[in-house]
Amino acid sequence: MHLDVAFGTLFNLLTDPYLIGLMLIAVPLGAFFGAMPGLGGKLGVVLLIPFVFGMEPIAGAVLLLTMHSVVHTGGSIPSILFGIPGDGTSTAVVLDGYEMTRNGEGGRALGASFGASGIGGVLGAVFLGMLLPVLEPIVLAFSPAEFFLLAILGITFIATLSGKNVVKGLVLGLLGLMVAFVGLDPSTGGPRYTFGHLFLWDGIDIITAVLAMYAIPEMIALGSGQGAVDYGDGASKRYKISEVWDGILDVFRHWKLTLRTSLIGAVIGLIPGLGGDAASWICYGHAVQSSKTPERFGKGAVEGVIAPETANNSKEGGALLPTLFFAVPGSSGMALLLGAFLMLGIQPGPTIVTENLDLVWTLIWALAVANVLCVVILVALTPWLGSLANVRPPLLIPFVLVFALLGSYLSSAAWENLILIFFLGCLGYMCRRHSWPRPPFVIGVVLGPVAEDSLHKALALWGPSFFLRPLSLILIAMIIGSIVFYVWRTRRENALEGIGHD
Amino acid sequence: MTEGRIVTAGLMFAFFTSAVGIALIYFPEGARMLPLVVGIPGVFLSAIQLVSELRRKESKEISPEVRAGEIKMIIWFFSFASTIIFLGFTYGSPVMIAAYLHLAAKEKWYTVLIGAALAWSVLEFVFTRGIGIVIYEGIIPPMFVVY
Amino acid sequence: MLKRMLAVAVGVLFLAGCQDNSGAGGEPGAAADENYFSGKTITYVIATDPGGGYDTYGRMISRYMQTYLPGSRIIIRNVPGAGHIVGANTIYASRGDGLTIGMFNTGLIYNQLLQLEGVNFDLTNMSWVGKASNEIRVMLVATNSPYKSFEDMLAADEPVKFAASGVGSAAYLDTRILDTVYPEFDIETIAGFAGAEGELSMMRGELSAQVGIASSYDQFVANGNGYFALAMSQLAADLYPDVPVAQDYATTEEGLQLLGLLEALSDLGRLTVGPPGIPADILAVLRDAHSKAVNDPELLAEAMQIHIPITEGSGEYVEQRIIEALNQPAEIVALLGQAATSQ
Repeated sequence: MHLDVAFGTLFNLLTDPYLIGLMLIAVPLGAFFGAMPGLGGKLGVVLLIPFVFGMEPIAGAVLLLTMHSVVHTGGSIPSILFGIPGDGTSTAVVLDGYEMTRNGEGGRALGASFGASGIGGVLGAVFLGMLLPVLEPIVLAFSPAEFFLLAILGITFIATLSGKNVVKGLVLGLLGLMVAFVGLDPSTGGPRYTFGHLFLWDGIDIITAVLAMYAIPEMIALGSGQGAVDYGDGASKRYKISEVWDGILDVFRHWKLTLRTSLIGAVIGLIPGLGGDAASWICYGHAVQSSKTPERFGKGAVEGVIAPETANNSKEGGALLPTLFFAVPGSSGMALLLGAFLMLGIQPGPTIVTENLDLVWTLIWALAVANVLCVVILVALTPWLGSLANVRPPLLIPFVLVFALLGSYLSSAAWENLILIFFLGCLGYMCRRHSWPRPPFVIGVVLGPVAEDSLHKALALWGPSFFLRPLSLILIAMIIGSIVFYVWRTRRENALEGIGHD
Repeated sequence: MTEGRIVTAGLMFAFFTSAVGIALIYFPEGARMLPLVVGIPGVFLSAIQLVSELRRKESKEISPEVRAGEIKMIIWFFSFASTIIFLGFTYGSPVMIAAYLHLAAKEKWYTVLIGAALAWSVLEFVFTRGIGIVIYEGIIPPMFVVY
Repeated sequence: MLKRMLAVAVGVLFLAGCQDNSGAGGEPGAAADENYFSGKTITYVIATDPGGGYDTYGRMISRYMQTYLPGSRIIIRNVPGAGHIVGANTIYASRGDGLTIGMFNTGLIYNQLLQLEGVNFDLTNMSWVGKASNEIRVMLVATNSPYKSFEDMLAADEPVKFAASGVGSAAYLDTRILDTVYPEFDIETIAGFAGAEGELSMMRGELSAQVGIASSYDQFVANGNGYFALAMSQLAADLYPDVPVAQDYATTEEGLQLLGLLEALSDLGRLTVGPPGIPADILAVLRDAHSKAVNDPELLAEAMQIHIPITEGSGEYVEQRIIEALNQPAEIVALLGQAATSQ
């Protein structure tokens, strides 16, 4: 490893006011596109591209990469403050983050989230740098067989996250999977459960499903007098910096969890084709399983914020790798960046290590610094964000409803989503009302498409013996281990209170 | 009035049975595999839950105000969605926000006006003109305004 | 009560006051010239999500068309769904006043020929504005596969695994056509590989080849991961003279006819089109602007920077080719249908 190049480029990045200036513009933009449900970072990058023409390669690449890296950090803001997930990956943060806000700990939740995102992003970038030499075999080791098993591993968390209501959780998880099957079947190309509606051919939009399960029920509950935010003693209208700082420190207090989830997130991001949505859920499930007091999850456990947030950002570091080194994008967002890099004259591919190492390191550092900058800026904004969260429910509700509807429409430009979100939203409210645990549903919807698609490809490539590959066997062992662990732990806790997901 | 929890469990059961039924009757071989693998256990589990709900006696009392509040909110949600479908986001949102703030929240007139104006300006200036994306125009406005 | 009336009045005023598209250019009845669009907003519909190839071309073309239609504003509208079908339907159903145009995958020709589900458009009477590129199809083979040339594949005993995107997509149908054209060639088409997943699978050695547009594989080939085994049209062969040509290996009459269809399709890429019924003079203005835009040296320079190929073609030319392509004899359509459903 070329240490002089590594640290030299960091120094150059930090001392270049033009680059820092670009990053300062890109961070709020990226956070905004991440925060508004339905917009997404890709749109932000696409809109910036015309401005990037004619910029120097490094400057343009830094600008775009910065914007892309902070999208998920922005997405956690409405998740925590209003229970509105920006996309499927942000839903994992809603589970505990929003509960923390309702317990009056919103400032701490935001601090933990920003801190975790920042650290996760940095660790992802560092991990990226360390892995430079052994990249190719790792990336190429994962095939559709492993994707399928990883999705199944994520799906086994459905039971873990159901708490006491195991049957209800399983039913909703299976329902989520069924919802994921709506659309064109990967093996025959025929439409399933679409009833002749073209807009369902690509499946039920995940943002619509997630907003329907979380944002809408919360607003209905708020509007009918239930579930108001508990301000504790003496309503504090603004979050104090000390609370936020406390949250950031939480990330360091739980440093082992932070390290593990950053690693898991980066590895999942590294594997092109799995999809980063799985990362936050797998890490959330891991946090629940590895905790000594899992019953706190779903009621406002700060680890429930740290785990998915680190993963969300570290996976971007992981995804950058195959994009730069194979010219094969690690995610659809990276596909966009790949195009942008080409445009800027950057030639991704194996030669990039030998010819353009300083560029690679600059990008790695840009990823890390972007995350740090983002944390600083957002922490500074947090008191103001706090007053946003403490807006009186009657004022908040209509705006949240509009933005949930807008997000649902925007994410697939289909007005039919508005009808869909109405019905799903009513269902979501009924689930909330009658204690059906909703996280399993989201897991099913998020992981279902990956599972079926990978299964179809694995069967087509190798036939039913696909799981006899060595890596697959390891994953199967992990799945079985996870289930056994869960059963053992449940037996052990039968006398104690169960996990309290509603 | 049937218990909400029984209706919910019943709905789940209905979803699964109809999904499995459709899969069995209409889907070709490859397409029906996973829906059945997932759906059939779903039928059983939701049946178990339904039976359990039917047997249980309701312990929690829900106050009639909350019940009424729920129904009102669902009607409001329906109105938001349908108004926006007809008038589009840029015009439908201020109208509905104003309606909600005035009728449900009973806010003062200037709060209503500011709320509506705020919604309209954000949608118009940040989304339509700023970002430049098209947000749904609705069914009625395109008849009057040339887009 | 008064407040409600006030709210309604404000609402009506909004509606009335927001008409900014009353059209400032040209008197009614006069033939349109380039100033026709002055003060008007054109919506350019792109049938994919932001960020893909069509989106890139569409945004670039519309930016330059705007400069050649003085006073106009072109906004982009992404209408993804059902493999470009929703976008195509949207364009087809919009008003034929020249204020809506857009771009979708030319592969929808297959959909119309085969009368596949969901098609609510008729390409033959849409108003074609112009083309921006060719769709040069080639067969990409992994360097780590056991096949070092197309002839190796023809001679192979076992089926050759090909990656394809969704069942029924243009790439899938291209692959199926290949299988039909060469009876001795046994292709096992594995669908479901979106975007770059196929290339990755090739790198992992899981499958050997895929059919697609040459320019999207440039990086892959440059990095030594694959090579072009077959040029699937004369146009492709012109660009890649060292690569064997598909027509040379066809042994049957039907095979040649199917390849002829592919040849016709290769000529049409990144097409800008409007709904049926655009008045001839307005369409002429659009076509002219498109042509100037795509030939603009700055656009060509930008395109070179992004590494996307540009080949301009006029709207009249595109219209002619589309009508020809859709006028296939019944046997070919039947063959195509067979190719699509066989495996």
